[in-house]
Amino acid sequence: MRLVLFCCLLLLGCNKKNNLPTPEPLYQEQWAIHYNKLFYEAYNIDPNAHIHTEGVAYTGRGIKIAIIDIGLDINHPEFKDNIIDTINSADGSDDVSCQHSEDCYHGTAVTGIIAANINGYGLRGIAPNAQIIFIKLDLGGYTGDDEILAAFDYAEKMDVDIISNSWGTEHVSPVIIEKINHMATKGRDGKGILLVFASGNEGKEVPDDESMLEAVIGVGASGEDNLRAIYSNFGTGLDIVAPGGYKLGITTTNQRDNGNGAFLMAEDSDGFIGTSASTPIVVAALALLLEKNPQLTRQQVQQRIKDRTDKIGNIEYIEGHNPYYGYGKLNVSRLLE
Amino acid sequence: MLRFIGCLLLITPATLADIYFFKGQEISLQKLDQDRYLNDKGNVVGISDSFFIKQDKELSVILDRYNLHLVKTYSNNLHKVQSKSKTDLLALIEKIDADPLTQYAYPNFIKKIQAR
Repeated sequence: MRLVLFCCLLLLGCNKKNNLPTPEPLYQEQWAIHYNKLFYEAYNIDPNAHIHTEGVAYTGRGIKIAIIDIGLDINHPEFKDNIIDTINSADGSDDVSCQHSEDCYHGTAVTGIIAANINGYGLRGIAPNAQIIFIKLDLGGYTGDDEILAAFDYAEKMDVDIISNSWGTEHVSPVIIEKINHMATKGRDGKGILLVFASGNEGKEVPDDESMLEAVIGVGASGEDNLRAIYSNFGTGLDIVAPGGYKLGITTTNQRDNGNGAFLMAEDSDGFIGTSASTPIVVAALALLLEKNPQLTRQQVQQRIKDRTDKIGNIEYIEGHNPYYGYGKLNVSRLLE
Repeated sequence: MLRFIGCLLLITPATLADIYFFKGQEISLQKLDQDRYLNDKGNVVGISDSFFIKQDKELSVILDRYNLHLVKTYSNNLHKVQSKSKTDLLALIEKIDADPLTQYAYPNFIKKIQAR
Protein backbone atom coordinates (compact mmCIF):
# COMPACT_ATOMS: atom_id res chain seq x y z
CA MET A 1 0.00 0.00 0.00
CA ARG A 2 2.74 2.43 1.01
CA LEU A 3 4.81 1.56 -2.04
CA VAL A 4 1.86 2.09 -4.37
CA LEU A 5 1.02 5.40 -2.71
CA PHE A 6 4.64 6.49 -2.87
CA CYS A 7 4.85 5.69 -6.60
CA CYS A 8 1.60 7.59 -7.24
CA LEU A 9 2.93 10.59 -5.36
CA LEU A 10 6.23 10.40 -7.18
CA LEU A 11 4.48 10.41 -10.54
CA LEU A 12 2.21 13.24 -9.51
CA GLY A 13 5.15 15.20 -8.20
CA CYS A 14 7.02 14.85 -11.48
CA ASN A 15 4.08 15.79 -13.66
CA LYS A 16 4.09 19.52 -14.21
CA LYS A 17 0.84 19.29 -16.17
CA ASN A 18 -0.96 18.85 -12.86
CA ASN A 19 -0.05 22.43 -11.92
CA LEU A 20 1.58 21.30 -8.74
CA PRO A 21 3.33 24.09 -6.87
CA THR A 22 6.81 22.63 -7.25
CA PRO A 23 8.53 19.96 -9.34
CA GLU A 24 10.21 18.42 -6.29
CA PRO A 25 9.39 14.70 -6.50
CA LEU A 26 8.99 14.24 -2.75
CA TYR A 27 7.08 17.46 -2.11
CA GLN A 28 3.83 15.53 -1.71
CA GLU A 29 5.38 13.75 1.27
CA GLN A 30 6.14 17.01 3.06
CA TRP A 31 2.94 17.02 5.07
CA ALA A 32 4.38 19.39 7.68
CA ILE A 33 4.67 22.32 5.29
CA HIS A 34 1.59 22.02 3.07
CA TYR A 35 -1.70 20.19 2.55
CA ASN A 36 -1.85 17.42 -0.02
CA LYS A 37 -5.26 15.79 -0.14
CA LEU A 38 -4.09 12.36 -1.25
CA PHE A 39 -1.34 12.10 1.33
CA TYR A 40 -3.41 13.63 4.13
CA GLU A 41 -6.32 11.28 3.56
CA ALA A 42 -4.07 8.24 3.19
CA TYR A 43 -2.56 8.87 6.61
CA ASN A 44 -5.58 10.44 8.31
CA ILE A 45 -3.77 13.72 8.97
CA ASP A 46 -5.70 16.67 10.36
CA PRO A 47 -6.16 19.15 7.46
CA ASN A 48 -4.52 21.92 9.51
CA ALA A 49 -1.52 19.94 10.74
CA HIS A 50 0.82 21.80 8.39
CA ILE A 51 2.28 25.30 8.72
CA HIS A 52 0.53 26.99 5.79
CA THR A 53 3.34 27.85 3.40
CA GLU A 54 1.20 27.86 0.26
CA GLY A 55 1.63 31.03 -1.75
CA VAL A 56 4.59 32.26 0.27
CA ALA A 57 7.11 33.78 -2.13
CA TYR A 58 10.03 34.25 0.26
CA THR A 59 12.93 31.78 0.23
CA GLY A 60 15.29 33.01 2.95
CA ARG A 61 17.52 34.84 0.48
CA GLY A 62 20.16 36.95 2.23
CA ILE A 63 19.57 35.33 5.62
CA LYS A 64 22.45 33.61 7.43
CA ILE A 65 21.55 30.67 9.61
CA ALA A 66 23.97 28.90 11.94
CA ILE A 67 23.03 25.29 12.57
CA ILE A 68 24.72 23.87 15.66
CA ASP A 69 24.50 20.10 15.49
CA ILE A 70 26.37 16.82 15.57
CA GLY A 71 27.57 16.58 11.97
CA LEU A 72 26.70 17.12 8.34
CA ASP A 73 26.84 15.45 4.95
CA ILE A 74 28.25 18.65 3.43
CA ASN A 75 28.08 17.37 -0.14
CA HIS A 76 24.42 16.46 -0.02
CA PRO A 77 23.02 17.64 -3.39
CA GLU A 78 20.00 19.19 -1.71
CA PHE A 79 21.95 21.92 0.08
CA LYS A 80 25.69 21.78 -0.69
CA ASP A 81 25.56 25.18 -2.40
CA ASN A 82 23.95 26.78 0.67
CA ILE A 83 26.84 25.90 2.99
CA ILE A 84 29.05 28.97 3.24
CA ASP A 85 31.20 27.84 6.15
CA THR A 86 31.73 24.99 8.58
CA ILE A 87 33.59 24.69 11.86
CA ASN A 88 34.14 22.02 14.45
CA SER A 89 33.76 23.66 17.87
CA ALA A 90 35.95 21.04 19.54
CA ASP A 91 39.12 21.65 17.54
CA GLY A 92 38.47 24.70 15.37
CA SER A 93 38.88 22.74 12.13
CA ASP A 94 36.40 22.85 9.26
CA ASP A 95 35.67 19.11 9.56
CA VAL A 96 32.00 18.69 10.48
CA SER A 97 31.64 15.09 9.36
CA CYS A 98 30.21 12.60 11.80
CA GLN A 99 30.98 8.95 12.44
CA HIS A 100 30.48 6.37 15.14
CA SER A 101 27.23 7.77 16.49
CA GLU A 102 23.62 6.73 15.98
CA ASP A 103 22.78 10.44 15.78
CA CYS A 104 25.07 11.22 12.83
CA TYR A 105 22.10 11.74 10.50
CA HIS A 106 20.75 14.46 12.80
CA GLY A 107 22.48 17.57 11.44
CA THR A 108 21.81 16.56 7.86
CA ALA A 109 18.12 16.07 8.66
CA VAL A 110 17.90 19.49 10.31
CA THR A 111 19.69 21.20 7.42
CA GLY A 112 17.43 19.66 4.77
CA ILE A 113 14.26 20.92 6.44
CA ILE A 114 15.60 24.45 6.23
CA ALA A 115 17.56 24.58 3.01
CA ALA A 116 16.77 21.71 0.61
CA ASN A 117 16.97 23.32 -2.82
CA ILE A 118 14.27 23.58 -5.44
CA ASN A 119 16.29 21.54 -7.90
CA GLY A 120 14.03 18.69 -8.96
CA TYR A 121 16.05 16.21 -6.87
CA GLY A 122 13.81 15.52 -3.90
CA LEU A 123 12.51 17.98 -1.34
CA ARG A 124 11.70 21.60 -0.99
CA GLY A 125 13.26 23.30 2.04
CA ILE A 126 11.25 26.04 3.69
CA ALA A 127 14.05 28.56 3.16
CA PRO A 128 15.92 27.07 0.17
CA ASN A 129 18.00 30.19 -0.48
CA ALA A 130 19.20 30.72 3.09
CA GLN A 131 22.93 30.64 3.70
CA ILE A 132 24.05 27.97 6.15
CA ILE A 133 26.97 28.01 8.54
CA PHE A 134 27.25 24.57 10.07
CA ILE A 135 28.89 24.35 13.49
CA LYS A 136 29.66 20.87 14.77
CA LEU A 137 29.05 20.27 18.46
CA ASP A 138 29.29 16.80 19.94
CA LEU A 139 25.83 15.79 21.09
CA GLY A 140 24.75 12.66 22.87
CA GLY A 141 27.56 12.63 25.41
CA TYR A 142 29.18 15.10 27.78
CA THR A 143 30.31 18.54 26.71
CA GLY A 144 31.96 21.44 28.53
CA ASP A 145 30.40 24.88 28.64
CA ASP A 146 33.53 26.06 26.84
CA GLU A 147 32.62 24.07 23.71
CA ILE A 148 29.09 25.44 23.73
CA LEU A 149 30.50 28.96 24.14
CA ALA A 150 32.93 28.36 21.28
CA ALA A 151 30.06 27.32 19.02
CA PHE A 152 28.05 30.42 19.91
CA ASP A 153 31.10 32.64 19.58
CA TYR A 154 31.74 31.41 16.07
CA ALA A 155 28.13 31.97 15.05
CA GLU A 156 28.30 35.49 16.42
CA LYS A 157 31.55 36.24 14.60
CA MET A 158 29.99 35.02 11.36
CA ASP A 159 27.31 37.64 11.85
CA VAL A 160 24.43 35.20 11.60
CA ASP A 161 20.78 36.18 11.82
CA ILE A 162 19.42 32.98 13.35
CA ILE A 163 20.90 30.05 15.28
CA SER A 164 19.18 26.66 15.05
CA ASN A 165 19.69 24.45 18.10
CA SER A 166 18.06 21.02 18.02
CA TRP A 167 19.73 20.08 21.30
CA GLY A 168 19.77 21.03 24.95
CA THR A 169 21.22 20.30 28.38
CA GLU A 170 18.45 20.94 30.94
CA HIS A 171 21.19 22.58 32.96
CA VAL A 172 22.10 26.04 31.76
CA SER A 173 25.07 27.74 33.41
CA PRO A 174 25.12 31.48 34.08
CA VAL A 175 27.94 31.83 31.53
CA ILE A 176 25.73 30.34 28.83
CA ILE A 177 22.73 32.45 29.84
CA GLU A 178 24.89 35.56 29.68
CA LYS A 179 26.26 34.62 26.26
CA ILE A 180 22.77 33.96 24.91
CA ASN A 181 21.50 37.26 26.29
CA HIS A 182 24.50 39.03 24.79
CA MET A 183 23.87 37.60 21.31
CA ALA A 184 20.13 38.17 21.56
CA THR A 185 20.62 41.87 22.28
CA LYS A 186 23.93 42.91 20.68
CA GLY A 187 24.01 40.62 17.66
CA ARG A 188 22.66 41.49 14.21
CA ASP A 189 23.85 45.10 14.61
CA GLY A 190 21.94 45.52 17.83
CA LYS A 191 18.70 43.99 16.58
CA GLY A 192 19.50 40.69 18.27
CA ILE A 193 20.25 37.25 16.88
CA LEU A 194 17.27 34.87 16.97
CA LEU A 195 18.24 31.80 19.00
CA VAL A 196 15.83 28.92 18.50
CA PHE A 197 16.02 25.85 20.76
CA ALA A 198 14.19 22.51 20.80
CA SER A 199 12.45 21.75 24.11
CA GLY A 200 13.14 18.00 24.02
CA ASN A 201 11.19 14.77 23.76
CA GLU A 202 10.58 13.30 27.21
CA GLY A 203 7.09 14.71 27.79
CA LYS A 204 8.20 16.53 30.92
CA GLU A 205 8.63 20.04 32.24
CA VAL A 206 12.14 21.41 31.67
CA PRO A 207 12.46 24.59 33.75
CA ASP A 208 16.25 24.84 33.52
CA ASP A 209 16.62 24.22 29.83
CA GLU A 210 18.01 26.54 27.16
CA SER A 211 14.65 26.42 25.39
CA MET A 212 12.93 28.08 28.35
CA LEU A 213 15.10 31.21 28.49
CA GLU A 214 13.40 34.55 27.89
CA ALA A 215 15.76 35.60 25.11
CA VAL A 216 15.33 32.25 23.33
CA ILE A 217 12.52 31.04 21.07
CA GLY A 218 11.65 27.66 22.62
CA VAL A 219 10.02 25.15 20.29
CA GLY A 220 7.77 22.20 21.07
CA ALA A 221 6.29 19.63 18.68
CA SER A 222 2.85 19.08 17.23
CA GLY A 223 1.67 15.88 15.58
CA GLU A 224 -0.42 14.78 12.62
CA ASP A 225 -3.55 15.40 14.72
CA ASN A 226 -2.62 19.09 14.97
CA LEU A 227 -2.24 18.77 18.75
CA ARG A 228 0.85 18.86 20.94
CA ALA A 229 2.84 15.66 20.49
CA ILE A 230 2.72 13.83 23.80
CA TYR A 231 6.52 13.54 23.96
CA SER A 232 7.06 17.28 23.62
CA ASN A 233 8.66 18.87 26.71
CA PHE A 234 6.97 21.92 28.14
CA GLY A 235 7.36 24.85 30.50
CA THR A 236 6.48 28.47 31.09
CA GLY A 237 9.25 29.56 28.71
CA LEU A 238 7.95 27.62 25.72
CA ASP A 239 7.12 29.95 22.81
CA ILE A 240 5.72 27.97 19.91
CA VAL A 241 4.95 24.52 18.55
CA ALA A 242 5.52 23.25 15.01
CA PRO A 243 5.16 19.84 13.39
CA GLY A 244 7.54 17.26 14.78
CA GLY A 245 5.44 14.24 13.90
CA TYR A 246 4.24 11.32 15.96
CA LYS A 247 3.57 8.27 13.82
CA LEU A 248 4.79 10.05 10.71
CA GLY A 249 8.17 11.71 10.65
CA ILE A 250 9.20 14.93 8.96
CA THR A 251 10.40 14.20 5.42
CA THR A 252 13.95 15.46 5.06
CA THR A 253 17.49 14.71 3.95
CA ASN A 254 19.58 11.84 5.28
CA GLN A 255 23.31 11.34 5.72
CA ARG A 256 24.23 9.23 2.73
CA ASP A 257 27.12 7.14 3.96
CA ASN A 258 26.89 3.54 5.24
CA GLY A 259 24.40 2.71 2.51
CA ASN A 260 21.79 5.22 3.67
CA GLY A 261 19.51 6.73 1.07
CA ALA A 262 19.51 10.48 0.49
CA PHE A 263 16.18 11.03 2.27
CA LEU A 264 14.28 10.21 5.41
CA MET A 265 10.68 9.62 4.42
CA ALA A 266 7.64 10.45 6.53
CA GLU A 267 6.65 6.79 6.79
CA ASP A 268 10.12 5.45 7.65
CA SER A 269 10.16 3.48 10.88
CA ASP A 270 13.33 5.35 11.86
CA GLY A 271 12.13 8.68 10.48
CA PHE A 272 12.93 12.14 11.82
CA ILE A 273 10.48 12.73 14.68
CA GLY A 274 10.74 15.14 17.61
CA THR A 275 11.30 18.71 18.64
CA SER A 276 14.59 18.50 16.75
CA ALA A 277 12.48 18.46 13.58
CA SER A 278 10.11 21.19 14.78
CA THR A 279 12.97 23.57 15.50
CA PRO A 280 14.38 23.96 11.95
CA ILE A 281 10.80 24.42 10.70
CA VAL A 282 10.50 27.46 12.98
CA VAL A 283 14.03 28.61 12.10
CA ALA A 284 13.25 28.52 8.38
CA ALA A 285 9.96 30.36 8.89
CA LEU A 286 11.83 33.08 10.79
CA ALA A 287 14.30 33.31 7.91
CA LEU A 288 11.39 34.11 5.60
CA LEU A 289 10.18 36.71 8.08
CA LEU A 290 13.60 38.38 8.28
CA GLU A 291 13.91 38.33 4.51
CA LYS A 292 10.65 40.24 4.33
CA ASN A 293 11.38 42.50 7.32
CA PRO A 294 15.14 42.60 7.89
CA GLN A 295 14.91 45.40 10.43
CA LEU A 296 12.79 43.47 12.91
CA THR A 297 14.42 43.19 16.31
CA ARG A 298 14.48 39.96 18.27
CA GLN A 299 11.83 41.35 20.60
CA GLN A 300 9.62 42.32 17.65
CA VAL A 301 9.94 38.82 16.24
CA GLN A 302 8.96 37.36 19.62
CA GLN A 303 5.97 39.70 19.74
CA ARG A 304 4.95 38.56 16.29
CA ILE A 305 5.09 34.95 17.46
CA LYS A 306 2.79 35.92 20.35
CA ASP A 307 0.33 37.65 18.06
CA ARG A 308 0.34 35.52 14.91
CA THR A 309 0.24 31.87 15.88
CA ASP A 310 -2.70 29.46 15.82
CA LYS A 311 -4.15 28.74 19.26
CA ILE A 312 -4.58 25.01 18.74
CA GLY A 313 -5.39 22.37 21.36
CA ASN A 314 -7.83 22.10 24.24
CA ILE A 315 -5.75 23.76 26.93
CA GLU A 316 -6.71 27.28 27.90
CA TYR A 317 -4.33 30.04 26.82
CA ILE A 318 -3.94 32.57 29.61
CA GLU A 319 -2.90 35.94 28.21
CA GLY A 320 -2.24 34.12 24.97
CA HIS A 321 0.07 31.47 26.42
CA ASN A 322 0.11 28.06 28.00
CA PRO A 323 3.13 25.93 28.91
CA TYR A 324 2.26 23.07 26.52
CA TYR A 325 1.73 25.08 23.33
CA GLY A 326 3.55 28.30 24.15
CA TYR A 327 1.80 31.04 22.20
CA GLY A 328 0.44 28.49 19.73
CA LYS A 329 1.35 26.72 16.52
CA LEU A 330 3.41 28.15 13.69
CA ASN A 331 1.40 29.53 10.78
CA VAL A 332 3.80 30.92 8.19
CA SER A 333 1.19 32.83 6.20
CA ARG A 334 0.01 34.63 9.33
CA LEU A 335 3.57 35.21 10.55
CA LEU A 336 4.39 36.99 7.28
CA GLU A 337 1.18 39.06 7.05
CA MET B 1 33.67 8.75 27.96
CA LEU B 2 37.44 8.76 27.85
CA ARG B 3 37.31 12.35 26.72
CA PHE B 4 35.00 13.14 29.61
CA ILE B 5 37.31 11.59 32.16
CA GLY B 6 40.34 13.10 30.49
CA CYS B 7 38.92 16.59 30.78
CA LEU B 8 38.27 16.34 34.49
CA LEU B 9 40.48 17.81 37.10
CA LEU B 10 42.26 15.53 39.51
CA ILE B 11 40.83 17.18 42.57
CA THR B 12 42.67 17.11 45.86
CA PRO B 13 40.92 16.02 49.06
CA ALA B 14 40.67 19.65 50.12
CA THR B 15 38.08 20.24 47.39
CA LEU B 16 35.57 17.74 48.65
CA ALA B 17 33.32 20.47 50.05
CA ASP B 18 29.62 20.14 49.29
CA ILE B 19 29.04 23.86 49.06
CA TYR B 20 30.30 26.30 46.47
CA PHE B 21 29.68 30.07 46.41
CA PHE B 22 28.85 32.03 43.25
CA LYS B 23 28.29 35.78 43.59
CA GLY B 24 27.88 35.20 47.30
CA GLN B 25 25.10 32.70 46.70
CA GLU B 26 25.40 29.23 48.14
CA ILE B 27 25.37 26.46 45.53
CA SER B 28 25.27 22.81 46.49
CA LEU B 29 27.78 20.65 44.68
CA GLN B 30 27.93 17.20 46.19
CA LYS B 31 30.88 15.05 45.25
CA LEU B 32 29.81 11.62 43.98
CA ASP B 33 33.21 10.22 43.14
CA GLN B 34 36.52 11.48 41.84
CA ASP B 35 35.07 12.69 38.55
CA ARG B 36 31.46 13.58 39.20
CA TYR B 37 29.36 15.96 41.26
CA LEU B 38 25.63 16.22 41.87
CA ASN B 39 24.44 19.81 41.64
CA ASP B 40 21.49 21.40 43.41
CA LYS B 41 19.20 20.64 40.43
CA GLY B 42 19.98 16.94 40.60
CA ASN B 43 22.20 16.96 37.50
CA VAL B 44 25.42 14.99 37.44
CA VAL B 45 28.24 17.24 36.25
CA GLY B 46 31.98 17.21 35.91
CA ILE B 47 34.32 20.16 36.37
CA SER B 48 37.02 20.92 33.83
CA ASP B 49 40.48 22.07 34.83
CA SER B 50 39.71 25.35 33.07
CA PHE B 51 37.21 27.91 34.34
CA PHE B 52 35.67 31.25 33.34
CA ILE B 53 36.34 34.81 34.44
CA LYS B 54 34.15 37.70 33.41
CA GLN B 55 36.12 40.90 33.36
CA ASP B 56 36.07 43.96 31.15
CA LYS B 57 39.53 45.35 31.94
CA GLU B 58 42.75 44.72 33.85
CA LEU B 59 42.59 41.02 33.15
CA SER B 60 46.38 40.80 33.40
CA VAL B 61 46.20 41.88 37.02
CA ILE B 62 43.93 38.98 37.85
CA LEU B 63 46.02 36.56 35.80
CA ASP B 64 49.14 37.58 37.72
CA ARG B 65 47.46 37.76 41.09
CA TYR B 66 46.13 34.21 40.88
CA ASN B 67 48.85 32.67 38.70
CA LEU B 68 46.52 31.96 35.80
CA HIS B 69 47.04 31.20 32.12
CA LEU B 70 44.62 32.76 29.60
CA VAL B 71 43.28 30.07 27.26
CA LYS B 72 40.62 31.90 25.25
CA THR B 73 38.62 35.11 25.24
CA TYR B 74 35.01 35.08 24.11
CA SER B 75 33.22 38.02 22.56
CA ASN B 76 31.42 39.25 25.66
CA ASN B 77 34.59 39.76 27.76
CA LEU B 78 34.38 36.29 29.12
CA HIS B 79 37.72 34.55 29.48
CA LYS B 80 38.61 30.89 29.81
CA VAL B 81 41.61 30.45 32.10
CA GLN B 82 43.64 27.72 33.76
CA SER B 83 45.64 27.74 36.94
CA LYS B 84 49.38 27.36 36.35
CA SER B 85 49.71 25.36 39.53
CA LYS B 86 47.88 22.43 41.07
CA THR B 87 45.30 23.89 43.34
CA ASP B 88 41.97 23.51 45.04
CA LEU B 89 40.05 24.65 41.98
CA LEU B 90 36.63 25.40 43.49
CA ALA B 91 38.24 27.33 46.32
CA LEU B 92 40.28 29.33 43.80
CA ILE B 93 37.20 30.09 41.68
CA GLU B 94 35.33 31.18 44.79
CA LYS B 95 38.22 33.46 45.75
CA ILE B 96 38.44 35.07 42.30
CA ASP B 97 34.67 35.42 42.18
CA ALA B 98 34.84 37.43 45.38
CA ASP B 99 37.66 39.66 44.07
CA PRO B 100 36.29 43.19 43.47
CA LEU B 101 38.24 43.42 40.20
CA THR B 102 36.25 40.60 38.57
CA GLN B 103 32.59 40.54 37.65
CA TYR B 104 32.50 36.84 38.38
CA ALA B 105 34.33 33.56 38.11
CA TYR B 106 32.57 30.30 37.34
CA PRO B 107 33.50 26.64 36.78
CA ASN B 108 33.54 25.12 33.30
CA PHE B 109 30.97 22.44 33.92
CA ILE B 110 31.00 19.30 31.83
CA LYS B 111 27.44 18.13 31.46
CA LYS B 112 25.15 15.91 29.49
CA ILE B 113 24.05 17.29 26.15
CA GLN B 114 21.47 15.66 23.91
CA ALA B 115 20.30 15.85 20.34
CA ARG B 116 16.54 16.10 20.35
